[in-house]
Amino acid sequence: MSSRDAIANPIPADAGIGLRGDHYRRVDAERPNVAFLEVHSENYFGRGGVPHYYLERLGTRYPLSFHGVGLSLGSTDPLDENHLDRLRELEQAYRPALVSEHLSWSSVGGVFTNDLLPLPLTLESLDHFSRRVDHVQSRLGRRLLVENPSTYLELTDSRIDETEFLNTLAARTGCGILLDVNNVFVCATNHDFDANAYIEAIDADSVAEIHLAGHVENRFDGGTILIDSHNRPVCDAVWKLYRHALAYVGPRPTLVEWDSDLPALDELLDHAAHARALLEEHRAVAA
Amino acid sequence: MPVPCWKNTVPSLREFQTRFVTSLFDDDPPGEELAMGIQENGLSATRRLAIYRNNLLASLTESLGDTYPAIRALVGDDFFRMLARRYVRKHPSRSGDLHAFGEQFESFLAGVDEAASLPWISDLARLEWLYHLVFHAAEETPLDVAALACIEESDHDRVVLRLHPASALTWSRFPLTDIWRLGIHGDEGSATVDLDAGPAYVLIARRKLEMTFQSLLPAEYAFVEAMTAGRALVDCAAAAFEVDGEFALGAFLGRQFALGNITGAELADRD
Repeated sequence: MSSRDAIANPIPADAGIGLRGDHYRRVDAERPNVAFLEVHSENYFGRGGVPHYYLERLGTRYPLSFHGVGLSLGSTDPLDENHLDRLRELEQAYRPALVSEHLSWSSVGGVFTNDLLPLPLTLESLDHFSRRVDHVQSRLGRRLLVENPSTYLELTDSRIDETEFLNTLAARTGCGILLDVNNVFVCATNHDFDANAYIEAIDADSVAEIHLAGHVENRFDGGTILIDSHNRPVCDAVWKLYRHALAYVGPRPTLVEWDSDLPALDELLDHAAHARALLEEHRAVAA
Repeated sequence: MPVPCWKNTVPSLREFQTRFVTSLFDDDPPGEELAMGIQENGLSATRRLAIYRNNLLASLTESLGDTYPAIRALVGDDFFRMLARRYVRKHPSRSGDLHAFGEQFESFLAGVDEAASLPWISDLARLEWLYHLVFHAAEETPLDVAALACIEESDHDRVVLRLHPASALTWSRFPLTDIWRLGIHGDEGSATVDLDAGPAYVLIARRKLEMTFQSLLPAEYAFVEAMTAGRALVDCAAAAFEVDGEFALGAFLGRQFALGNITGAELADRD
């Protein structure tokens, strides 16, 4: 690990789990051996109650990662400064090790879809997105990680490869990249490109975290679309792509995401243990 | 390299986003211009957009159901999905924070013809929305009743009590908390509710981590309502006495402190 990684990454290159309400009690009681806990920032936009009670307790035991889904970075609406204010308050209260958002947009004209919508990858959108990331980083006074999303359509208007878009964004703004290996796999299938080549093209030094997740397959007449559903185990092909990412990008803090049809904590921990085993295997081979 | 002439018609980012979101809320197939901007690559633009349309509806329906679990259980998943579908179009989400979504469900339900046979449903929506707000409201340390002893007797008329911020007041002509319990616990409790067993006056309260419904008498409701308006203790008491001349002020106040409902006592300025 380079010295730059050591500074940029207060979380070790080890496996973490998403912290969800259904698991609060058990995680608090059992303190499982995971490297970090990741939460959706917006789930803590309330002022008190159960979510903050557990996050305060667990935040003293584990490094935290705040993963945002609602900032609508790519939108042409003005950034929601109230949203950003609340994120800043939370950042200052909990001092998470990582703060991340998505290369997407979710709102226009004040209407929110609360989904991660595909951004045309153009010089116009790159300028726009860079300015927004600059603004967020200056308001938060820290580095933001930007995640590659799953998409279900490509826009003819897009002129820049997603890897080039992310690499340039990182170079311009100093933001990090959250490499979601499942999203790479989903997009590679949906848009018929080489997932390995995507991993090889991403700027490894900028990647500060890796996500893994499960997806579902939707069959249409003649076609298949993968949907990033976060509701099932990580499939073998995505584990394989993760190994490829470890080889090309290097070991990074790795999160297994699971948001709906949440399994028992043990199954989630098994997944984290598998990611950890692959990280260790990578180190053994690299040594 | 010459720019192809169609390039001039490629929508700017703003126009693209406006068209895209409009199409997600529209059941008709997208217009030609939007379809032109989507690579079909084995699957039609309409089909591809439908994935986003379904995701939008599914996630907002789930969010609405998480906020209104009793209504969802009582009306059933199919009817709830129909309600959510209409609600999303009429009152789309206005925030990147999904906790803010669903505030108008009470007023929306009042206008749903198919729900007219469920006269309690709007009141239950109000209860569940307030429950949701109280669940996420700020924590505050309850005040010990001994603090009142420090106040000079000459100042008693200008004492203002502060209600715990994780509190909300509502009432209904129906037995609202019984209906809520039926929805949440289903067959575990009594499987039917006597709709004539109302009215219900309820303080929804979170004390430490526990959500509770405190059942109030009409005079007590009047007292707490005046307290939430920031009125002085004497005025709150007067509001309660107006409803019930026999209102037992001392016992009621003692109970409010014991329940942790009071988090502050200040002296209002003299007029």
